Amino acid sequence: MKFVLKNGVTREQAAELAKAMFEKCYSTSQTMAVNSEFSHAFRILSGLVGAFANIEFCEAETFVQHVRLFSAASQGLGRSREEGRILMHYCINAICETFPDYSIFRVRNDSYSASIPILIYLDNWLACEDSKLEDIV
Amino acid sequence: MMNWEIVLMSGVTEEQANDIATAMIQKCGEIASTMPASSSLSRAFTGLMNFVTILARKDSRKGGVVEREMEKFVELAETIGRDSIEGRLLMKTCVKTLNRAIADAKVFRIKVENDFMDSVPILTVLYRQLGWVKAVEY
Repeated sequence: MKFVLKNGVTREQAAELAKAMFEKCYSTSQTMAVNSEFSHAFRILSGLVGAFANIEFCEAETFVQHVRLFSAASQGLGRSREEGRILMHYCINAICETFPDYSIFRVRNDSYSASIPILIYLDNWLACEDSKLEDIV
Repeated sequence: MMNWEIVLMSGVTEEQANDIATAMIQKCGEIASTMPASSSLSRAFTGLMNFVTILARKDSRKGGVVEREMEKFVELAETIGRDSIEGRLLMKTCVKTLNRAIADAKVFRIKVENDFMDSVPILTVLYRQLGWVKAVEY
């Protein structure tokens, strides 16, 4: 699994969007009480989208580390893993609705397959009951 | 049938209660407005804001009105999200978020009319009314 940008998108454009997404997630988390579930969820999401601006994120090892962190943190929200996944789904949904260009950040299985937006991929992957990290790395 | 009524914590004046209700409404509105109106989270907080509005209306504190409003609120919660369980879970998290953001929310309490039982904070009752969503993986 490799992190790629949509065709025709420069690193500068991607970094700018990642910064905007990070700021939105962070400001949303600040709006709520710091100890609320949604505040935690948006802070976790801000960590992930902020990393999109980092060129090193394209490297397989860094990408896997971030996904690992994101996955563990998401499933730690709420009273159970399932609740954490559901809450993160709605936070991802809110960010995707805010930034229609979110799809410039994509993942691809191998160089011949079609890429899909990383947020959609992670959301679908979190939604799977038997999601395992091995599936993504 | 038992009638619920909204009462204020003793020592709290109407003006203070109005200020707290206004702060709660503003908080819900602030959170809802940080996200696009089409997102589930924004819809959930907008629904909660509408419910909180009844706290500010003195005439809606009498018995009968609260139960009806709560029923409507739970029905609304079930329309948010991918299914009714997720909708209720999402709304419960919104209620919890509001409760943590505005600690004074507990001045609004639910009491059974003509009963000696202790009153309970309205957001706690609301949380319970949204039902038990299993904590274990379902």
